[in-house]
Amino acid sequence: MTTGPHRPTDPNQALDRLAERGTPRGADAVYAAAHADRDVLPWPADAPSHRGRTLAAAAVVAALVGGAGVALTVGRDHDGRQAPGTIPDTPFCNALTRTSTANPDGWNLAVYLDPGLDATARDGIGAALRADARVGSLRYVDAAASYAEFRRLFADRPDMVATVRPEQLPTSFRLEAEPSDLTALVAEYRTRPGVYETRVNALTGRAVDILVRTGEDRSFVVPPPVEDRSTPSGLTVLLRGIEPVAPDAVRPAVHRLVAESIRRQVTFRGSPAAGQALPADARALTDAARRECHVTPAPDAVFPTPTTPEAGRVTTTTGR
Amino acid sequence: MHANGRTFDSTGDETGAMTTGGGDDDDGSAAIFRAAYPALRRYAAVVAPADLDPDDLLQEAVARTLRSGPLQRLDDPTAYLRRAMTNLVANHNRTRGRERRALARVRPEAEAVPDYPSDLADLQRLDPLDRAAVFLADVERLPLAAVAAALDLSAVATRARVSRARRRLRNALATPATRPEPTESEPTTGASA
Repeated sequence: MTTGPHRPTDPNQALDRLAERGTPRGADAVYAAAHADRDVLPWPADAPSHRGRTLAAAAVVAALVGGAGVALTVGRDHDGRQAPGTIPDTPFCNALTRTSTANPDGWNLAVYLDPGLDATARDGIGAALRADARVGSLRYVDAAASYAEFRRLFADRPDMVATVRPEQLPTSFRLEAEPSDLTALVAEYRTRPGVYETRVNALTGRAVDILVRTGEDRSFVVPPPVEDRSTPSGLTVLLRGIEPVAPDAVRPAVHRLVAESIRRQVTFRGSPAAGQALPADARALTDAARRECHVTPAPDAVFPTPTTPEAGRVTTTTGR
Repeated sequence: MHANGRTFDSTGDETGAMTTGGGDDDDGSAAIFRAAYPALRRYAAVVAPADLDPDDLLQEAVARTLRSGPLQRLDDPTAYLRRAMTNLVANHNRTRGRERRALARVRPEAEAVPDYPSDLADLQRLDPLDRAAVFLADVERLPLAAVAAALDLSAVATRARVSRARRRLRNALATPATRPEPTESEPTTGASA
């Protein structure tokens, strides 16, 4: 056991010190987060069984990652280049498609690597990509470069930048390939050992993707570490940026997604809890992105189809 | 378990219906919470296990309470929220205890918990109800009835709990430092209530 130099022996003094531990977030911040959380039920009201709850939880995870992810990673077109004049210049569309409007580096596919992957495995994946005839230019982006890119993308959002540390960002290979080869490349490399995810450069997706890294279940945006849980997660900040500018009809759905993001950050050590409306919320946001901003999902996006309430499942498909 | 005419279940959730309020209710709840926050935050810091941020615990208690209605509909919101936190911690520790025991079965070496240097580590290894009892009675100097309400115990049981907790705390702080083996009743991150 370790003890500090001023270990108190008086219980009252010790308890008083314990009561002052940590840095209080303040009443307003705590209440606001609790208020946002209040609409999210911890479990479906009619949760039938443990297995049922697990399936429902998995459904919501899929919906949040897939649904919200799609809404946020909608590509401007499949090769990552914006089709001029097709996206209205509205606050909502700008919040959804936050990105640069060009592809200055010439890459259109990112192969993200598992965090902590050793150099041998990393070089093996790099060698495979270099040997692949479909791959044109190829470069490796380390954590520092990913962080620099992240800071550049969110230069106007210091609150977002503050939630992420360089070591939380995955490294990646960036490559250029013919658009017609992208879907096959995505499917092929995403299942390769050591590869965390493959993403077409649907520009917004770059920002979202680098917020996502593997966790024990690689199923959700990893929240800040325990000691930093007073800081909103990146996904929370993103969704909060979208909420006030979302169309009236979809704003409540975004609000619930925000609440779920906060709730997961708070309780992430436990199992994820399901709210029945969340898959629908994620889909509502995606549909609004299509309708209002004329954007389509990136070809590698996971897109949730409507749930079947009795099972709580979300069917996912890829390669849309 | 009854507190102020409202009922908790074992998870800290409230059972029983209350309508959700509107904007005025929200303003009222926020004002009540703002006034009670310093005391509630201190209590959260005392009862929360080391791996749980006190504000997170408090936030969860408030969120669960707000789901059932605004705070101004409670007779004593501070007492109510204290008890909600107590129940949440008890539930949290039960869950963590199960996880730790399951983990130990498949990976015995994983049982070892990092020992972070802290002169309050001994205190945080004790039963959170013990900490809560002494804190409310001796540090915050609340009357016995208020302590009983926060801990959801009878007056007699509360008096006994406080007395026993004082002794345990004194012993724990006076004993020089050997790390106790976690037991069913005293998990490493705080004991089940």
